[in-house]
Amino acid sequence: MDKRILSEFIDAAGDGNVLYDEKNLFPYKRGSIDGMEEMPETVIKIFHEKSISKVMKIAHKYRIPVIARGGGSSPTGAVVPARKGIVLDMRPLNEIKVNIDDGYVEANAGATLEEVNRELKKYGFFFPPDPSSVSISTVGGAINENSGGMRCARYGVVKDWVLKIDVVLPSGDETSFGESIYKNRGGFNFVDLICGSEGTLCIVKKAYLKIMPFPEKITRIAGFFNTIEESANAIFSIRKNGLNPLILEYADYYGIKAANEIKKWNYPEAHGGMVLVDTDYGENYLNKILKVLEENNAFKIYIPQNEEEYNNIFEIRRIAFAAPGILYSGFIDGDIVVPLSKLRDAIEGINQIRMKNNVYIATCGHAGDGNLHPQVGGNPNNASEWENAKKSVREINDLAVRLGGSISGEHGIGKIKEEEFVGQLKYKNQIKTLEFMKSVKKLFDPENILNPDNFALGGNYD
Amino acid sequence: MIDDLLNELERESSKCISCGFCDSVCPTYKTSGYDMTKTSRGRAQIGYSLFKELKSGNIGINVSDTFYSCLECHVCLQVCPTGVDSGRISDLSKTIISSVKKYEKPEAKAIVRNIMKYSKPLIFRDESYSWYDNVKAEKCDTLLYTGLMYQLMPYTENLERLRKKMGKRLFYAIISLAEAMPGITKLLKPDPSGVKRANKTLKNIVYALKSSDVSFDLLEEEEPYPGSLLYEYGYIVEFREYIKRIYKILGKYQNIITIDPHTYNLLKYEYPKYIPDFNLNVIYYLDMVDKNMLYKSNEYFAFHDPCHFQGEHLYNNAREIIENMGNVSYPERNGSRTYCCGGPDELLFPDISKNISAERYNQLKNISGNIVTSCPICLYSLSRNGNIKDIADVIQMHLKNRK
Ligand SMILES: Cc1cc2nc3c(=O)[nH]c(=O)nc-3n(C[C@H](O)[C@H](O)[C@H](O)COP(=O)(O)OP(=O)(O)OC[C@H]3O[C@@H](n4cnc5c(N)ncnc54)[C@H](O)[C@@H]3O)c2cc1C
Ligand code: SF4
Ligand code: SF4
Repeated sequence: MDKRILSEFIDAAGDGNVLYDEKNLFPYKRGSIDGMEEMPETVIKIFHEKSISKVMKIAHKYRIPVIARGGGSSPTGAVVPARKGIVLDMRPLNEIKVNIDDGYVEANAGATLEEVNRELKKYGFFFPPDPSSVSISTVGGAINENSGGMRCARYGVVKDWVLKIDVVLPSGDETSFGESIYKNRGGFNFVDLICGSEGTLCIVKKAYLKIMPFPEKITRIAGFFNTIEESANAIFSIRKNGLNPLILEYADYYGIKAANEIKKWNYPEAHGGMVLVDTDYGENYLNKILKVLEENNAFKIYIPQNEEEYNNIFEIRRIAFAAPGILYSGFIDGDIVVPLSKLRDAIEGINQIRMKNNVYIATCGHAGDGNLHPQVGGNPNNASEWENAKKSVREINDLAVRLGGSISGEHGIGKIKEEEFVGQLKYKNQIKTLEFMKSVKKLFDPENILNPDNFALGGNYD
Repeated sequence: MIDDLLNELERESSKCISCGFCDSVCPTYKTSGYDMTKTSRGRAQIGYSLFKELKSGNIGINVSDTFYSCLECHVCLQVCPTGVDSGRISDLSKTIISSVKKYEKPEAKAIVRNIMKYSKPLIFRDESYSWYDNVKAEKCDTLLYTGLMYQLMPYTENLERLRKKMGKRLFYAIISLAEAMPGITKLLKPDPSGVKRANKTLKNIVYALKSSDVSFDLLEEEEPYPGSLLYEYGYIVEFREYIKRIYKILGKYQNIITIDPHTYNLLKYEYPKYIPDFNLNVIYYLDMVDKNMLYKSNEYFAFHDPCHFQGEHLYNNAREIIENMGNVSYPERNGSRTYCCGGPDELLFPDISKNISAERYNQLKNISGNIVTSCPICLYSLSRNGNIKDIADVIQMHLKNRK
């Protein structure tokens, strides 16, 4: 980058916060899992709210592409600086203020959801959406990906909990969307527009998030099944019977096996997988859930009696997500979502693709809201194996769309699922959506400097 | 050897999916000012790239700080969904870097020279040998081996003061001199109050063992350093050569009582890998302390688990002892997910070390002002912020016959 421009950025963000040598840029070249990478030209670490607008004004003046980065855990290439330019490291901007009286927490974009919840815990409250990446997922990242998680079967996703956001526009101008009050009908709902916009419209500086008192007592139950049909039926029955669990999760045989391997555990490597349920509704509901698991032939049921087992069972589900990482140098993240009544068809369909293509797929997911993560393993340096993995992912995404679902429940489109996203829109006769998306992008970012080439907004897909 | 190291580096680092979960527990991330090259994910990613570069014949950029700043607390392994241990990646990378020579750290080189020449990282002064005055050593097959850790700490304390006083440039000029003439470290004086405290704790350890009817011999002035820094800085060739020398001395005994977790782990787990006929019973002194001689007071303690208590057995035993003496609370980060004291970074990355120790001190202080630990490095590192007790000092105050 031109020395003169660099010194302008240094004035804006502070000495030592502008990085440009190869060693320091290296860790910013990728997000998670996707295997995509590109080295940025410059990284600017944001420690103060006011630096963002100053930096954006300079970037806008010179038309330099900018990507905001939170925890960098996005698995879709959304955080990869494909056109080089600047990465704004938002993680150091992480102040949190709790306002119990008005029922919200005010958090800077770089605070992780875990940090937000640690602060709220002091007051007996919590922020319900909990991607399994809470420890790294930042407020800015979770809003821009409209993240979901385990508790979303009950509480909905991030957008359902955002009251207001303070933002910096690509021009460097500042504004806010929404209000830090529980109801507000003033104008279009721009908060929801920004939620899930994948860093393409504005930089989120701070968010005002709704909070809940923590449930009093949570009971955890895990059922292990011999067949996929049994586990899928159990999940469906729990939902259909209105048992409204706090979490309703699934991990298949491969996920359980991976957890056993890493942690040297001995949990049953059940061919039908594990269904994990948390309930806070007391004995009556607990018994009803147990009954459903038993009726669907769970051959082993755990109700953890100590903290260690309580955490281990949860850890199985968390590790299951990354299962191919243990065996393969690459893997492709799946994130399909289907109507609840089609969950069984989806799990079975994935199984058929696995057998037909002879490919490694570990499936887990937030079964309670129909969201599955079929994670496909392969070695990117082995051309035929990698091609087979990619083909399998395409087939899985097709399956989801045909079942009335979507190719992404929570991880978004980023830079690696654009074509399939457009395919989905075409299949569903919704291609107009893409036109509107492009118009909205132009309105916010006429110079196209904010995370360009992301979310199918850059390319020509006609 | 380098091929084996490279293979292990590939196996360990290629599993990393760059999810960043480990960054949330890695103490060097936030405390380095969110430096992505000094965090667990950075170490795994840069470790993999180091492997690829070495395979192709050279290391392009100097990445030594990434690995030398690792505290090797191994907490990252506890949260990694694919089972990556960035502490191990740092271990391997440091060994590779030190064998390639190009990016060695001068401070590390100076310390290595001293150890190889004097069997100590620094030349000790007389006051560091006064703790065993009046202690009766007994000729027997059990050795009380201090590993010199308690004695060393007051010197590193003064080294840090010197660094501040001289400024970086002069300090590094002297370090380079020490690299060529290790003998000049004799000029370094230990911090007097630190020496007093170390001697007191060492005497209390002896007292706890004697009160538990344990007999042991001592090496007094002849006691050598176990070689921990050679191992931690990745000088494996030198480490292997050095510990053969040390084993000749220790091997005369059957039982070795160690008094700090670093020396314990090194002797118990690393020595046997490099000494084929290793045949010593390595004991941690707390395992020999008779719990029945302790009484429970109504004191409140906050206990800091040292990271190097890796085996559950060490955690449990130290906890049992402290819980026998009062009401104990643990901070949120405890057990296998404990939060390092910052001590391992003190020599090479003093600022990071200082920030980590302040952070940990506050976590402990929030639950009780009466903070206890059981490792000399933790003791000194945390003491930079306020008063910390060694478990041996607490034992001394809770002996029934004393009451
Ligand atoms: C192992 C693993 C498990 C996961 N589990 C889940 C899960 O259960 N549920 C789920 O929904 N997701 C999950 N994810 C995906 C990911 O963790 C989430 O999308 C997360 O919320 C992203 O947050 P981040 O801070 O890491 O964002 P980043 O990856 O840093 O960024 C994501 C996007 O947001 C933009 N962005 C970031 N900060 C800002 C800002 N301040 N202003 C504007 N744009 C910004 C970026 O430009 C990028 O487009 C998982 C990922 C991994 C690796
Ligand atoms: S061993 Fe400790 S300091 Fe090193 S990378 Fe892991 S968590 Fe960080
Ligand atoms: S937790 Fe494991 S996989 Fe994730 S970034 Fe750290 S080392 Fe890599």
